[in-house]
Amino acid sequence: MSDMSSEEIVAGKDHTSAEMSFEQGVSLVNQLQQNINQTLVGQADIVEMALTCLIASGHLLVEGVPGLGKTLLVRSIAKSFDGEFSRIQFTPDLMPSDVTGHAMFDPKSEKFRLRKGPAFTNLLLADEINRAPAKTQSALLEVMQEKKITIEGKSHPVSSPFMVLATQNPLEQEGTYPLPEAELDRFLMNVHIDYPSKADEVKLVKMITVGEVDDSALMRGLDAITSPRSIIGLQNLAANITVDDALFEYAVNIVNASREWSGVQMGASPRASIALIRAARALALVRGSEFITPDEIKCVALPVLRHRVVLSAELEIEGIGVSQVINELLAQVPAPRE
Amino acid sequence: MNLEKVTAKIRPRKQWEAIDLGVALAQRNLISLYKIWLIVTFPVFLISALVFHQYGMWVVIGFWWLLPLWERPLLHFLSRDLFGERLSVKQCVSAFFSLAKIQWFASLTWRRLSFTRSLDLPVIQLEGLKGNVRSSRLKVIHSIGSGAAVWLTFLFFFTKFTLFIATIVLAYLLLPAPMAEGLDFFEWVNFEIESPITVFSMNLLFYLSMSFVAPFYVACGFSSYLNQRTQLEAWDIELAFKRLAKRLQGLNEHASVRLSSFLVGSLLSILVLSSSVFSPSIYAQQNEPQTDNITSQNENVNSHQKAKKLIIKIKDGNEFHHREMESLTVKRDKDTEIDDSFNSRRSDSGWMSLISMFVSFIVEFALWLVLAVALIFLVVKYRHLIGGLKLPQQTKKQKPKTLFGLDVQSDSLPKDPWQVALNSIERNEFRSALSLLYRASLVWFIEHTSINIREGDTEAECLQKILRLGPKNSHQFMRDLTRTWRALAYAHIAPSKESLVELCHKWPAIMAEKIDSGDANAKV
Repeated sequence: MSDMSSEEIVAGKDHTSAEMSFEQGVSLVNQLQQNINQTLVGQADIVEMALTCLIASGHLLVEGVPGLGKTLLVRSIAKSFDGEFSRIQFTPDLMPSDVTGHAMFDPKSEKFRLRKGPAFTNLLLADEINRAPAKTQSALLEVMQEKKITIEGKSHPVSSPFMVLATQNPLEQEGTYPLPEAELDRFLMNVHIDYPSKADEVKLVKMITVGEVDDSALMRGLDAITSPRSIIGLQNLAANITVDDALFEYAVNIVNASREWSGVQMGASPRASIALIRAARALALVRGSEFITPDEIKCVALPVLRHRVVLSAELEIEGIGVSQVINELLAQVPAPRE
Repeated sequence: MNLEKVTAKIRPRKQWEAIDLGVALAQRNLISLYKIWLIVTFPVFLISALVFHQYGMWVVIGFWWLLPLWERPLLHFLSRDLFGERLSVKQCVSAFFSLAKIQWFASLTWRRLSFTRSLDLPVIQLEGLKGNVRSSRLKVIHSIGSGAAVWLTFLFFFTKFTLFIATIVLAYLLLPAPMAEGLDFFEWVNFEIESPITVFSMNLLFYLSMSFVAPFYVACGFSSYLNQRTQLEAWDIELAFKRLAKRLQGLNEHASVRLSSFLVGSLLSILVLSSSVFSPSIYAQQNEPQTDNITSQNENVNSHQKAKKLIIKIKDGNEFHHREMESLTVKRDKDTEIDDSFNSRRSDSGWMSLISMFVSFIVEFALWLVLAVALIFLVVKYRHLIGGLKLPQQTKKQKPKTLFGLDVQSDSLPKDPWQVALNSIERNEFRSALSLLYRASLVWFIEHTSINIREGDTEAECLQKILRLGPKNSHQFMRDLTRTWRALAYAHIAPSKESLVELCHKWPAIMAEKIDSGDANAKV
């Protein structure tokens, strides 16, 4: 591990994959983790997965009840790498152009001027994404997959790194529009954010309420410790992490098993196999490993597959959840040995 | 027992009608019956539930087993009440111990699972019969059918369970969703719960279900018993005669009645006499011509003596002493004609009774067998609750034959895997050597420890299980082996030759117990 201080890393904001060593990368990820964990108390697992998703160049779907710090997570990540941050509150009357932007006629210059939407950012928080109708949800499809937005027939690339963090509230389902499978498949991971432990909650409440009049204290202590370019460097580092052939096969076996599993109406697509390896690589970097093992694949399998598997009505009636099926599936698929 | 004092209408009823009467009896005395029941049973239940709270469902099973004793005061009350003697609750409760003593051992052992318990209880308790007399009495009581009593037992048994489970379901459904999430309904029903309050609540619920049913069960059994006796001993006819006699006795006091009865009696006497006077033989004799009175008188004497001799001769003859008895069943409430094939049916019914006896024996045997199996199951399942009782040997767990596509049976390994691995290291076949050593280690843990390795377990998960359940001296070795293997397998980082050799040399010391194997040429 490198002993580089955060100042050194900030100073080296222009690190690229060619310049950044593996040790530097691991150190940077650790500091990012620590920085975000300072703010988002008691959600270390979610922070790990969010960073994994960012490094794997994917998008994250977060499910959880209000008040658990979903917005704070996105803002913390954005601030940590000095990136741009936008937030869209999805509502039933939200239009696609409210997300992507539009061309507007300027009478002075007698030309159409591009008015960029909030999607032109590094981190986009799509809050309560399922409250907007399918048309608006679909406006995100192109930007999530292609990382560019087409307005008036012209493509405009978005900032890099780009990541969408969408949230869903699992309780209030009335008046919502469930995300179509194609949209869900665009998300690399789906994580469930849960309540912090009692001790963490006490710590959080103390931190915010002692001598503070509002919640701004949370973000005040957060420093930008790196640049967006360093994140791209980390993404490149992760992309080059060693993966044994047996593990490619293992990932595909898991995804195949999801298609053949009894009680599963729709299994995961090959995009899930790709996502498994990509996320496992990023997780290995987050955990400081130069290679991935079946453990990393198993660890990311649940968030990667959870939103890609549709259970049959019989299993749902019996009260069996997707997580239960995936865990059982992981226990049954032989882990590689030789 | 004075039949004249009976407070219910005594008449032959169908079996289900008799049970209806029982329900009416219980309803009429419901408060007293519940008072008796609760005073007798609740303290016992409460104390046993509190003292033996750690034994879960055994408390209610024990309580249920003692039901024949708890039911006796209820029958005591009902039997006296039916014949006009109203007992107080206190009297019934104080009579409990003396009632419970009556044939208690038999009632709680071989007779406990009798399906006709409700019908048989009055025979034991009210008639006080035992031994062969009791058996023959029960045969008579059951001779006109005891099917309703059997179904009564089934019905009330399931009613208890239905009440119990329905109340739990209701409670479960009414619980707010966040509270219900962490609860497993089947754990409740199976008493697989640890919280003493929940265990007590479950026990109390089952006790209340039993309490709800008990007075009705006893009353229905008693009314069935009364109905059987009414039919067998014609209580209704006896009562009708008694009423008639009483009415006539009252009427006889009047002179006119006395006169009319005298006239009726005289008329009847004349009719009887006239029938003998106008009998054909006498009528014939009277019509014969009378020649001589003396001769006729002598002849009369002779014929009288002859007749006497003839009577004696007939009386001494074999035909006079031949006795034949026939019995048949006549349904009172149907104008059933007895057909001519009665005799042939009688012989058939002998076969039928033999078959029914055989079937009942088989059913009884099967039920005892089911009980024995259920008991064994309960004892095995809850053996941890029974102090000192342990099975001689735990069932040997099923060892996997293949895991992760590898053969993990000991006979698939060479005799000394570490030696073979060393040879491979000498030939610079590190991967093969490490693979063999790792596989041999896994096989050793599967064979010699209780570690259960599943198909989907990764190396790190296997290591976690070994660290948790494996012998301590193997922990560091397995950490090193797993780390080296993972680096070689997934990062393609070759370990140093020395570290591999060291692992091989440590292997036989760590895996102290040798793996039984003989095939040195097995797959490496």
